[in-house]
Amino acid sequence: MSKVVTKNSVMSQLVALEQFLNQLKEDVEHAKYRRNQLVVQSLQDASEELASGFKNLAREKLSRAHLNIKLAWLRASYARQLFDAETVEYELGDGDYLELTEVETEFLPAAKVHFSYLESELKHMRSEIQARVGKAK
Amino acid sequence: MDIFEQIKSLAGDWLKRKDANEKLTRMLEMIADASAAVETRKSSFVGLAEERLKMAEEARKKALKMFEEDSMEDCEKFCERGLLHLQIASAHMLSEDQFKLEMTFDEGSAEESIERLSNGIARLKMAVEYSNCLVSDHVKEHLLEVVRQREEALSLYAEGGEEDAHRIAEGALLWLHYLGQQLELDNDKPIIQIEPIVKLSPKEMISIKTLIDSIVHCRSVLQVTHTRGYTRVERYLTAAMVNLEKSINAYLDGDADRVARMVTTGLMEARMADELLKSTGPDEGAYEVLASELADDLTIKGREFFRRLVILSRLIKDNFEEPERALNKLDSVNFNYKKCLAAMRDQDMSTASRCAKLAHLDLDYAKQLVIEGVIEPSYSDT
Repeated sequence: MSKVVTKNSVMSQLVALEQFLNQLKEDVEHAKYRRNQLVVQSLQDASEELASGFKNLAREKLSRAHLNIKLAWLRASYARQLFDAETVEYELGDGDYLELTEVETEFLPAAKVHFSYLESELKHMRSEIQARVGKAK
Repeated sequence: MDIFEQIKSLAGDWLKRKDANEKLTRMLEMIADASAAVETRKSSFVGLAEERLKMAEEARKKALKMFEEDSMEDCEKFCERGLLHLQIASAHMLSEDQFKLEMTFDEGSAEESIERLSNGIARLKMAVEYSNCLVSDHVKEHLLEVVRQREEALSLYAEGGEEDAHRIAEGALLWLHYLGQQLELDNDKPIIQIEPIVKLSPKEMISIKTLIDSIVHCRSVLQVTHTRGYTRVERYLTAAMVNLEKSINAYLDGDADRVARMVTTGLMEARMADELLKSTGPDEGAYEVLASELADDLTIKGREFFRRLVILSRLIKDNFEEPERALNKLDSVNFNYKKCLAAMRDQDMSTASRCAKLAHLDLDYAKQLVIEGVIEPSYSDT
């Protein structure tokens, strides 16, 4: 990051950040499949930092505005990367997202899913064994 | 000259050179011209520019009100605000593509550590989503803590506590390195490597990594051999983890002697866990890969079956009141399923059939207990 902070450099970075955040917001809004709490929160925090950055620029408090830019970037870039990771899971995976915030799993529905998987595997295996026994005869 | 170029080129003291009447008139003209130009241009940032023009117009109206009330200082303030919004709108309209954000933080700075930590968390998530790998409760629990530490580091940095923020971010990066290693071992394939920041000499870093490797190794063995854990081994591993944490803190404090002591103690505990595990003997033999295609298929199925069984057993252990009976039945499912796999490999279909049936009956029994809430379940092969 450049050492000399001028009104112009702060303005350009704020504008660039606003564009970056705007693009990310649009992408998140279009992604109907999922709403990740951490992405939404990071996006909101980044927007607040950006707004403070513009206010500090107007008041000519350039070093404060510069700090706002750094914080907004750290939050926005994090949100972008998390969102992209979720998109990969949506496109390529089976929607089993890695949660990075505390999410309570409901015991019974989760247990049911595992019982059901194990049961169908055993049924499948038993029919396979029967088929092989039949062939041997 | 293009209206946006004109607005952009206005110097900071441009407004100060005009009288109030002139300022308001010029503002009105510029807003009108810019609004008209926005409507005819194609740009990805028209929306952002329009928002700024609205804000500029609001500021102009307020300035006019102040002018009417003869409050010239406030009038000037709102004119300046309006001009700033106009300049932002122009910057949006003049950028053909998205502005490139070139944020490179100084090496070794707090913000660089926080960025590395953020990128590390995101990379780990991306790797998990991409590879669909198993994330154990142990990894998940620590990962949530790392995410929390990142937030703490950012808040401290925002409040001016750079040194503390830096320290927390570096510690969290070391944990992230550990989690990457654990993830690879749990899944038996390369997934992600996250390199921590080397603060002391490489010697201390290597010794901490050795401790991490030892703990990770024992945990990965424990995970595939004991569906319900193994209290004595877990006790040693917990103690080793405590020492790992202490050694990381000592590392961050730059205390090389303490790092050495904590690592040595941690390694002793990890070795005790390892010895105990060796003396019980691994019981994952049934899942080992054999040469034939059939064996490979059975191995893949076997591993997935066992993975589900472990998850289910842990869910029941943590959430179900009086879990013992159900867990015993799941142990029995595991035992018979493995025997069934072994019999299938030996082409002993009669044993395979009997074991598969027994596993199925036990699974159904456990299901009646847990899901259907039956107090005295019955065996039924329907």
